[in-house]
Amino acid sequence: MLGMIKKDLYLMLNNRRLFYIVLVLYLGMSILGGQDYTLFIPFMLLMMFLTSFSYDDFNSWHGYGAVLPQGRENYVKGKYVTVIVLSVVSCFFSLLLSFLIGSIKHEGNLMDSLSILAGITGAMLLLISILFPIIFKFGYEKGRIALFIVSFGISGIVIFLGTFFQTRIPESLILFLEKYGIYLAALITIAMLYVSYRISRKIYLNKEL
Amino acid sequence: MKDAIEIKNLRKSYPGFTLGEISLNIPQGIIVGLIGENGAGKTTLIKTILNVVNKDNGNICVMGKDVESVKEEIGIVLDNSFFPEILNPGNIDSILKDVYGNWDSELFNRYLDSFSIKRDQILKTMSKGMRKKVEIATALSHHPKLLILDEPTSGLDPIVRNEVLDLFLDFIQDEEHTILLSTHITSDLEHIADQIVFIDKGKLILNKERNEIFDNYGIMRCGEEDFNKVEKRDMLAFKRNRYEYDVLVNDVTVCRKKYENCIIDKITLEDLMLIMVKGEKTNAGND
Repeated sequence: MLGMIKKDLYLMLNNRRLFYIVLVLYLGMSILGGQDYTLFIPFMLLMMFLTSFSYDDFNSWHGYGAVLPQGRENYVKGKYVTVIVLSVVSCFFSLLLSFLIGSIKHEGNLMDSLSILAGITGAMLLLISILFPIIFKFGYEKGRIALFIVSFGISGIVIFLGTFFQTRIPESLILFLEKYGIYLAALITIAMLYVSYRISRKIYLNKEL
Repeated sequence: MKDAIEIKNLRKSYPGFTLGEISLNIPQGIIVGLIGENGAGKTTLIKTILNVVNKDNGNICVMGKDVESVKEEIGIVLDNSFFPEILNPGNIDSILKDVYGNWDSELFNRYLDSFSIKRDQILKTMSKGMRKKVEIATALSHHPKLLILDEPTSGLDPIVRNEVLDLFLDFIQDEEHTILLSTHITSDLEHIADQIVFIDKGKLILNKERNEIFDNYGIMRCGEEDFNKVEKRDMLAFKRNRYEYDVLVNDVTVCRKKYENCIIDKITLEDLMLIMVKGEKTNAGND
């Protein structure tokens, strides 16, 4: 599996120029403007990581990858492990930058940044858990269309539920969610990632490459 | 002699194309050349052996086991399938160190040096031939026992092609080593293959030792009158040209005595392919 993780990291590393440009742009906008754009770094890295699927498809890697020892199994496992580690690491990196920018500007709240980043990372991982099986089944091109549908779909559902239940949520439930919501969200994310991994694995192990 | 690859009643269907049923044994210690025109089923056969595509029917054993359990022992060159093009040989070395237990970085670097390839040059900037060389170096650098190569010499100039063929001949010096090599450059196989397997429209139409083909088979060139005198049992296939017939005969020595008026040339694999694919087959090959 380590080999497959390395492959994806090398792909990202060999594309690092784009990352540097966007990073400088975000830093500049965050220091000079009113918003903290560094909080979008994890999402940007996720997008960069997703291009590894595109390279794999474009260069017909899958046939070659499948003939490596445990190639199919390690490919799926590698993608999930890389994206989870990348999400967590980029979240901390983003938090560090956010803290530094806050210090420069003498403003900002580390706890606020942390909760925003936790939300972004959780949303990213939920998105991945839906998106990856689609990519493994249909390839990256179709997966990209699914990415937009899923992103807008989830946002729409959240807004709809928020508006619809705003006045009907019992206070006890709100209190419960305030206290345990973060743990519940973490549990749901982990469960969804696991189910997603099992589905992707099953799809890829039986796929004609 | 043990079999490196044993295929029984293999069948694989796609819409509009069926491979098989194919039964084929590839003994250990030899080079087997797989020939056939484009779309004949060579790549499908290789992909089915390697479990890249799922077979519909049949059994495949590689070195006596299921292919999944012996992948460490197999070196691969696939046609149009390799690492993403923004990686370089150095990256590939680092990746495969963690994929193959037997990966030999030193050997990989030696191959790169002998092919004059830089470790930090990305695949995208390499010529087709250079990329092929990296693929060949990759296939050989984990000390495999079986090489399965789909068009490994395409894009290489004659000099490098000869070097690569010599590498394959060196590889086969160990009697436990085997090569299954599919190629359109049939002259390569005339130099190195011990056995020729010919696939046409998904069917296995010839599986013979190279010496048997070159010692016995020949192309008889004759007019219509002489052609009509040729006994069916002497010919495997024939092709009608504008002014003459090309007849693939199965025993040059016998036919030279029998049909003294006709010219019988030595056969090349290209002739064999042309006449078997474009000509009409007879039943003599099945005797």
